[in-house]
Amino acid sequence: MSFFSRLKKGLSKSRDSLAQILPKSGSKIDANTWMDIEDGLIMADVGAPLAARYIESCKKAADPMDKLREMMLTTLRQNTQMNQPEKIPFVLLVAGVNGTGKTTTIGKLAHQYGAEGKKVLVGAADTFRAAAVEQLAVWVTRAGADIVKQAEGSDPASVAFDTISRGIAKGYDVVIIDTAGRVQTDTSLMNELAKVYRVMNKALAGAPHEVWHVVDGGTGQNAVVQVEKFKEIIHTTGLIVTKLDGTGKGGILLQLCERFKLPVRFVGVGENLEDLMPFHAENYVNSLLPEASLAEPQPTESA
Amino acid sequence: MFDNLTSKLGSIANKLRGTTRVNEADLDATLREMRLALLEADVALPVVRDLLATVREQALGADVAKSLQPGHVIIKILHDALAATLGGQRRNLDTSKIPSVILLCGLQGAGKTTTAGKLARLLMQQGKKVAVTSVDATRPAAREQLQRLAERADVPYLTGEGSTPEAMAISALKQARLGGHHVLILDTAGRQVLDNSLMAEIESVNKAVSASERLLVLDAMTGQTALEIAENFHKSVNLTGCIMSKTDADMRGGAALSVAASTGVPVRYIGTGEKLDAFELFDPERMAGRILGQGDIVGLVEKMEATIDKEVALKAASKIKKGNFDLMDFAEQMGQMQNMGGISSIMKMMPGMNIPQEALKQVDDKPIKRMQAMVYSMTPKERQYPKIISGSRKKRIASGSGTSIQEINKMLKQFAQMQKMMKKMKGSGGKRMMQAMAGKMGLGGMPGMPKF
Repeated sequence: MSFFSRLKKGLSKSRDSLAQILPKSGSKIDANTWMDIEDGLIMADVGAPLAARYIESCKKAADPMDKLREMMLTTLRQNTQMNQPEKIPFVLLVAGVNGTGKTTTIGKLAHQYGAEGKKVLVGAADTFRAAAVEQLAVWVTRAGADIVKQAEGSDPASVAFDTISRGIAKGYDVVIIDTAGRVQTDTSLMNELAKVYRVMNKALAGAPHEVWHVVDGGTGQNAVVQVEKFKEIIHTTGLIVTKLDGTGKGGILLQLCERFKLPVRFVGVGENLEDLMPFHAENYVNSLLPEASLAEPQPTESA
Repeated sequence: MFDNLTSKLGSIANKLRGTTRVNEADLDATLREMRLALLEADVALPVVRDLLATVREQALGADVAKSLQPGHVIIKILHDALAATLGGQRRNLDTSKIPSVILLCGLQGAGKTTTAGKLARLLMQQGKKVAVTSVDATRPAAREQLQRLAERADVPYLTGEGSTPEAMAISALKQARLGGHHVLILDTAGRQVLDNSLMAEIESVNKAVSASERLLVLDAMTGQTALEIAENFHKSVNLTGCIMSKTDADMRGGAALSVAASTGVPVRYIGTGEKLDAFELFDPERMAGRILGQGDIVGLVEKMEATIDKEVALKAASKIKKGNFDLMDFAEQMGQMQNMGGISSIMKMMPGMNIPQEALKQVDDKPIKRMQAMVYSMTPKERQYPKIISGSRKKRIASGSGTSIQEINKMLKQFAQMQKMMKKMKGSGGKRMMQAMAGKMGLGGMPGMPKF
C-alpha cells in the first residue's frame, strides 16, 4: 500500500464526513454549507479560529475550494531544510508528552536510517517509565541498531552524554536520543529535559542537530501549548505526527505549522517498522479534503 | 493563549448589566463566545451544539434580578448544564463479586497500564486485596511495565498462561480466585486504530471473564475524536465508566464532556501526574468549573486536607490567634506549601486568578527551601524573637544555611510583613478583608456558586 492510500484510508473518517459537505470546485456555496465546512474542519481538530479564518478567505475567492486547498498547503509548507553536521554523527533528540509514540517512532527511525546503510546508535534516556528501556531495546533490535542504556532511574542527561560520546568514538552515522514523556506543565521534568539538551551540546558542539517533537494525531488544542513549551526549552526544529492511521485526523498540525513555522518531518501511519513516512503536504491535504482523491498525485515531492 | 471563558465573557456581561431580561441578540453573542471556549477546551462539536441549545432555551426564560449580571446568569446556566452532563450516576466501583474483574481498555498511549497501577494502589489502600494482570501481547514490554508498576504499588502481578488474550485472562482470573483476591485489574492491549480486530479481542476477553467494571482510559488531551473513541468502545463492551488520564497537562479536559454526553457513562477517576498516587476521584462540579476556567477551589481544599499535617496547622492557627507566630512556624508553613506541590500548583487552582502560564513558570519554589534553611540555621531564641538577630548573628546564619546576609534581611522583612498582616486578620477586619479579596477576584455575586 502506498503512503498516500494508507494515509487516505486512515483519514477516511474525516474524509467521509467532509466529503458529504464539501462542494465541487467552482460550484456555488450557500451560508449553511459554509457553516458545515467550518464545522467539518473543527471536527478534524483544525481549531475554531483557524477554521474561521480559512473560511473567511475562501468566501471571497473565485474558486473557494481551490483556495482552501491552497491555503492549507501554504500553511503546511514550512522550511524543510534539515540541519546537517559537517561530520558524523548526526545527533537527533526526540521528545514529547506521554503516550504519543516516541519510542515506537524512534524504532522506526532507526530502521529507516539503517535501511539507508547508516550505522545507528540509540540512547535510552527515558529512565523514568517502568520498562521503557526494554520497550526501546525491542524496537532497536528489530531495527538492527545499537543501544546505550543505564539503570532505570539514572540521570537521562548522563545517558545522552554517554550515547553521543560512544557515537563519536565508534563512528556512528546517526545518534538518536529517546526521552521520557513529560507533560509540559511539569516544571521539574521540563528542567530535566533542558539539562539533557545542554549536556548534549557539551558532548558534541552543535548537537543536537535536529530536535523533533512527537505529537499524537488525535490530540486536540492542547498540542499548541505542548509545542510552545517544548520549543522554548529544546528549540524544536521539526514535528512528527503519529497515529494518523487512527481516529485522529491530525488537523491540529495545520495550527502547529501556522503558529510555530515548524516543518512536519514524518507522519506515523501504522504500527509496523516501515510505517513512518516522510511528510508530503500535498498528500496530506488531498487526504483531508476528499475531492482530489480522483487523481492520486505522484509521491515524488521532496520532503 | 487560553483566555478563560469567564474573562472572555466579562465584557459581554458588563454590557448586559442593568437589563432585567436576557435579550436574544446579547444572548447569541454570549453563546458564540461560549462555543469558541468549549471548542478550545476540545469538547466535541455535536456536544457543544446540544449544550448551547439547552443553555439558550433556559437563558431566554430566565428572569434576572436587577443586582445580578445577566452574563453571569448565563455562565451559571452553562455551568449547571456541564455539571449535569458530567454527573451521570455516581457510584462506587462494583466490587461485590469475589473476585471482581475491572477491565481497562483504550487506545495506545492513553495510559492504560499506568492507570492500572494507580487504580490497584488506590483499591488496595481502601482495604481490598488486589491483583493485576496484562493481556497485552502486542506492545513490546507492556507486561514488564505493569509488573514493575505492580511492584511499586505493592500488589501481586498474575501471569496469565495461554496463547490468546482470552486464555490469558481466564488463567489470571483463576489464579485470582485461588489467591483469594477481591479485585483483579485487567489491562488490555491498545491499538492506534479503532479497528474490528481490537474490538473483537476486547469483547471476547470481556465475555471470558465477565468483567464487573469496564472502564475506558482516555487521554485528557484527546481532540474531537474522543466522541468516536468512546462510542466505539461503548458499543463493544458496554462501558461502565471512564478514567481521564494526564489531566495535569490539560486541566480543562473537554474530552470528559464528550464522553459523558455521547455515552452517558460517568467519568470516575482522573490521573493527575506521573506518580502512582496522582489519581483522584472525578468531581463533575469541579470539572465543569475547570472547563469554564473558574479554578478549582474544591480541589485546592482537598489537596490541603490530604497533605497538611493537621496538628501543625492547628498549632499554627492557635499561634496566629495568640499573636505569637514565630519563624519556626513560618518555616513549617512553607514546608506544608511545598508538600502541596509548591506555590505554582496552588496558584493554578485558585479561581478567578488569571495567571498567564508564563507567569506561573516564573514562580520558583526554590526560595522556600532557602528560607527553610535559614530558619533551621537559627537558634530557638532567634526563631522566637527575630528582633535579636544582629549583624553577627546574620553572618552566622548565612554561612550556616549557605545563603547571604541580603537574603536573610529580605526574609526577615517578609516575615515582619506577614506578622503585621496576621495581626490585622486577628482583628474584626479579617472577615471583611477576605471578602474584599474575593470581590477583587471576581467571585462576588455569582448566584448559586459556592461562596469562598
